[in-house]
Order: sequence, then C-alpha cells, then structure tokens
Amino acid sequence: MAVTAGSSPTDAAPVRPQRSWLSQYSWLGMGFAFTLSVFYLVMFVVPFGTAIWLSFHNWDYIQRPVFVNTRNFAKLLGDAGFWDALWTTVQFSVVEIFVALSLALLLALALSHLRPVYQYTLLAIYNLPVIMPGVVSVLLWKWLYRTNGGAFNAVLASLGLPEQPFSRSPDQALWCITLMVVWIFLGNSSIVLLAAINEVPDSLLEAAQLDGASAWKRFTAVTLPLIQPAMAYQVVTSIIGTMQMFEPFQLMPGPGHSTRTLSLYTYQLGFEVLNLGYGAAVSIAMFVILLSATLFELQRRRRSWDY
Amino acid sequence: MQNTRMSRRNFLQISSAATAGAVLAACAPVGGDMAGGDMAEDMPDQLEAEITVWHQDWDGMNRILAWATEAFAEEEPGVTVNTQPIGYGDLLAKLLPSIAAGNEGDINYHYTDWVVATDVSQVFLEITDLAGGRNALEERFFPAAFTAVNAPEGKAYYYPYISGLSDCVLVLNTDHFSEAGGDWTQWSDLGVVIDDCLKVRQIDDDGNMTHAAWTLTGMLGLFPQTLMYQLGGAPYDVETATFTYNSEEGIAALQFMHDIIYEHRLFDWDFVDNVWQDMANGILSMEGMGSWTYSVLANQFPLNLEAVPMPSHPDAVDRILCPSHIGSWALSRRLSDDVAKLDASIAFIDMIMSTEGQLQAMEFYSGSLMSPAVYADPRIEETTYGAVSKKCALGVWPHARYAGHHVANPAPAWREAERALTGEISIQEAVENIDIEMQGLEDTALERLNA
Repeated sequence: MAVTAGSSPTDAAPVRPQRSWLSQYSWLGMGFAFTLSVFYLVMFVVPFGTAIWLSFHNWDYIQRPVFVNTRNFAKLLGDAGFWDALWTTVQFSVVEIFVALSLALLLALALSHLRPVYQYTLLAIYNLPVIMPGVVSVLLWKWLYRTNGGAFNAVLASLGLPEQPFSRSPDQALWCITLMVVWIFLGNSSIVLLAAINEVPDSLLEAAQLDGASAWKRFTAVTLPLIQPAMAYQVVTSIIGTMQMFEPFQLMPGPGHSTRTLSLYTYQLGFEVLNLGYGAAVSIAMFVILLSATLFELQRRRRSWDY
Repeated sequence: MQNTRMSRRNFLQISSAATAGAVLAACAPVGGDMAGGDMAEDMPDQLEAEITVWHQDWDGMNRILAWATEAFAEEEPGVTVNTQPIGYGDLLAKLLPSIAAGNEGDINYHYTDWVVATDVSQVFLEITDLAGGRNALEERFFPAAFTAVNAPEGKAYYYPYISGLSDCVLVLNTDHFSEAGGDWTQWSDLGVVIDDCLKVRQIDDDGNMTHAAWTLTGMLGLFPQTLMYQLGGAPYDVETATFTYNSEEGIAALQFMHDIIYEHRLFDWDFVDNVWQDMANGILSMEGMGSWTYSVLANQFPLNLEAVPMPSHPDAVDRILCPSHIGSWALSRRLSDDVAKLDASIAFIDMIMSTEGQLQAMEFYSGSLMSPAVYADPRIEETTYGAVSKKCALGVWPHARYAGHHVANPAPAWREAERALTGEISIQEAVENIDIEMQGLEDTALERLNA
C-alpha cells in the first residue's frame, strides 16, 4: 500500500513576500559595481571602440570623417615605417625582458641569502628609480650619455677607451634606452622574484641537498620551477610594458627612425601629422600583436607549471 | 517559482545601457549654428563678459599675458580674463579635439602648421571683417603671414603674432668669428659663410674636432626646402598637389648640407650634442634655429651674439626663405553666438596686438613680430631685443614663402633628411622616402578636404 504523506503546515516552506528584484541587493554594492562599470566603460570600452571605428576612417577631429573601409590596414601591410617600428619594438622588448629578468633573478637570489632587514633595505634602494618621475630619469640618463661632458664618456676617456656617440648614433641609441629602462625597473622585478623565492619551502631545498644536488641543480630543479608563476607574471607584464613604453623614446630619441617604436609611431601619426585613422589602425595592430604575445607566453608557461 | 534574483548579466546589461545613454547624451553636439551669427558693428562703451584665453605656457608669453591682463583690467573693468597657460605639446594635442568638442578657449594661441591639414574655416572664427577686411590685414601684418595656411580666398582666420624664424636666421658668437678673422657683415652668400666657418672650426692633430663652427642641428625641417627654392626648384607643386624632393634641386639641397658636415666638416654629429650647452660652453660658434634663440642664449649666458638673416645658396637664382610656423591668436567659433564675449575677446586681442603690447614682447623675445608698424616705431630700438628682431624680420619676411601643402608637420621629411645627413641612408633614398611620406600625408589630407 502506498502511503501518501499528506502535507502539513510544518512541511510547507515559508511563503516569503514578493520583493522587487532590486531590493534584494545591497545598494552600496550596486553603487560600487555601477561606478566601476561606468569607469571601465568610459576609460576603456568607449576609447577602444572609438579606436576601432577610427581605424576605418580618415578623420582630423574637425571635418566629417571619411569612411575608407580597410584601406588603413591594407596600407599598414605595405608600410615600411610600420614594419621598421615593429622590428625596433621587438628588439627592444626581447632584449629588455631578457636582460632585466636575468639581472632581477640574480639580484633576488643574492638578496634571498640575506636577513629580511637587509633585503628590505636594499630593495628599497633598488626600487628608487621606479618612484622617480620618468622624465627625471630620462633627463639624468641624457646627461650621462652626452657626447661632450657626459659621465659615461668621461669614464671611458679616463680608462683610455674610445669615447662613444651613445644616443647620437643610430646603432647605439636603442640600446642606450634599453639600458636605462632596465635600470628603472630592476628593483621592481626583483621584489616580485624575491617574494617568490622566499616562498620556496626550505624542506624541498634541504631534501635536494641531502640527495647530493649541487647549488646549480637545486636552483634549476627546485627553485626555478617553483617560481614559474612569478616569472610568468614578470614576463607578461614586461611584454605589455615594453611594447607600450613611450616616454623614453619621445624624450630621448635617436637619429632618424632608430628608436621609433610602435607606440611612438602611433603618437606621431595621430598627433604630429594628424593622420588619426592610420594611427588608430597601427594601434589596433599593436593591440593584436600584444594580445597574441601575451596569450602565447601565458599558454607556454601554463604548460610548464605542471610539475 | 519565478526567479526574482537579478543575474550578473542582467545587472551588467542594465548598467551598461544606462551608462551608454549617459555618455551618448554627454557627447551629443551642442545645439546652435556655429557658422552664422551677427557680429556687432560697434562695441558698446562698457564691455561686460568673462573670457578664457588659452596660450602657450612659456615664460615670455606668460609675461606678455600678465601685462595685457593687467592693462586690460584697467581699461575694461567689466571683463574678466581667465588665462590658461598650456605647454606646447599639450596645447598641440588638445586644441583640435577641444574645438571639435566645443570647449576650447574663447581666444586660442596656436601655431599655423597645426591647422594646415584641416579646413581652417571650421576651426576658427573668420576675422576678415572684424579686423577691417583682407587689405587692412595685409597692411597691418606681413602679407606672407596669411599664406601660411590655405584659407578660402580672401578670408583670414587668425591674427599673426610672432615667429621664431626657425631655419631662416643664423645666430653666431661674434667673439669667435672676430678672433678668427671672420666678418659676418660681409656674408653675401652661404659660400662666404662656409669660408668664415672654416676659420673658426678647429680639429686637433688626431683628427678630432675641438671646436665646431656651424651646426645644422635643429634646421633639417625647412632649410632643405629653402635651398630647393633658391636653386630654382620647388618641393611641392600647388597645382598638382605633388611633392618632388626627388629632383635635381632637392638632391642638390641635401648634398649642400651633406658637404657642410662631411666635406667642410663644420661640425660633427658626435661633437655637437646640445646646441644650447655647446654655445654656452664656447665649443660651438653658430646655429641656425632662428632669431628666437638669440634672446634665449643672451638671457642665460654671457655671450656676445649677433643674428643674421640666412644668406642665400651660392648658386641661388632667387632669394626665397622658408620660415617655420607663425604663433597666432584666433577666436572660437562659439563667439559668433555671444556678442558680449566676442567684443571682449577682440578688445583683448587688440590689447595684446597693440604697439605697446608688442613692444613689451621685445624686452625678452628676439623672434619676429608680424606687424611691420611696430618695427617702424622708434621705440623699438630702445627695447632689449627690438633691433635684432627688426633686422631679422625685415630681412626674412619680404622673401618668405610657404609651400602651400596640407601636411601638418614636416617631421617625416626632416627625419629622412637626418638619416641621409648622418650617413644611415643615401641622399637619393632620402628624397624618395620624403616624397612617399609627404605625398601620403598630403593625399590623406586632401581626401578629407575634398570630401
């Protein structure tokens, strides 16, 4: 026999009064979310959308925009200036990231053997260039690189070595800027890597040591794999940072196009010669390249985290 | 049961729609016809308005504006003048977008090359009638000033004010040339200049330069253009709207500059690093960045200087000089709908452009004024830089020529010239590249203008 349980007042779920969907949320939370949405919309979505729209037009702010379809992108493919700027950007980005990350890693490893108080003190000193205004850093380095009365050439002369043209030379100007950028961000990268190194469990390193692993083996087999997420973060932020870097190239330009990167080229097209549509197309291309490089690096690093 | 919870997606949809509406509403164009409007024939006795002046943030300009604002307050106590100093780069970057948005100053300082790539009649208020007609303007200012921008026939949109005469004036250290036996008063052409520079330039036994005579740094933009015109060529054909740097004259112009560096070796790129510092330190004797540099150098360093209008190429067939942009004052097109502000703005510009006002500028500025009448005033000789400015202005403006193209900034041309003159590429490659770059920009501008 089937037993049918009858409903009883105690079984029934309490009937809640119908409330408007809006009243179920915290007004404060919604306020924050709304504000951020507006901020994001105004500061990113609208400008980005405008850049995409602009890349299909010929416009100078004043006159009626002329729709040019994909002409700006087609022009880009055959523009020696674009490819030249891209090559300069890639050279700068690859060398800066490789040198800066290597030095930061060495610095972080050296600091990791010190007591925390010394670590913090030294890191604070190394990080000073980051808090110095970028313009001041560039002006300082311009003076160091001066061909007449510059500090570097004074040192070279005192050592009996030939003086160098530095940023006056098309061959040296880009590397002069690269060195300056490495100097600026070295402390910052070291902080991130030192934090990651300090998180590596001592037990693992001790176990490896007991198994007879050398210092180099402990570094490559234990420390390096465990700091991969921090390395990936550094590489990705460095790719983005170096590709978008503008101030040093604008303030300390080398001769001709020797230091014209994509970000500077975009600025010159948009604000110097008022070719806004083509400038926007270059910036969109730059965005796609940047996104691809970032995704590629993240994907590559993600695979290597599976240890 | 009906789900009354709002999903994140719903919330974002609603908030996005609301913000998009708000943004679109804020971006909507302000109503009103900017093109029309009645102008007041006569100004009222007592003006009452509040006007905003956007001007370049530069010590000299700030001093001029401070003087003008104070003098104007006494003359027109009913007008409040808000001056906004803005750095050159910022002013360049924001002026046109602000005009498009309708929130620029009532009076706007700008340089003429900022508006050559667009339709100036849509940028500033036409001032032809306000200033008494085209003929009156051409009598009041050097006529060449109105050829700096392609404007509809017979119409004017700006009050020409000052020009640094970049690339058209040589500023030299007289002590250096005197000691070396040079005489700048006898510089009939650039060949003679080079001969005197060779007396000044010094190279040690190892072949290293120890004293540079004349640097081309800072004059790669318009000097090649000047030389081309003087040799009988033209970098730009107004009729066909084409650039032809790749011509006999274009190559000869760059070759002449190349010879200054590599044949005569009047300077080395590696030796001259910072023109100001090198002039101050006495290791460089002359530069050609314009007469404006005379006062900058004289104000800061104890140097005996002279400024000389650029002599012509030894083989010149015509005396033509290509000065750079002109610093000018212009009125917002909004003012056509606000007679009170318009009257106040014109009165304020008149104050700045008065002889008294322009003589003030000569106390600290050695560039050119654009008003010949001020140079005819004997008081000009009593000012600090009036005599220098007068000599340079009268030596340049009667021979001045603007190419008439629509490229906002010839930077692509001078970068290619720089590449040729530093040996990175050949002169032939440089002139070909210049033509390609400039023609591309010209065609793009004309596409907008003809749309």
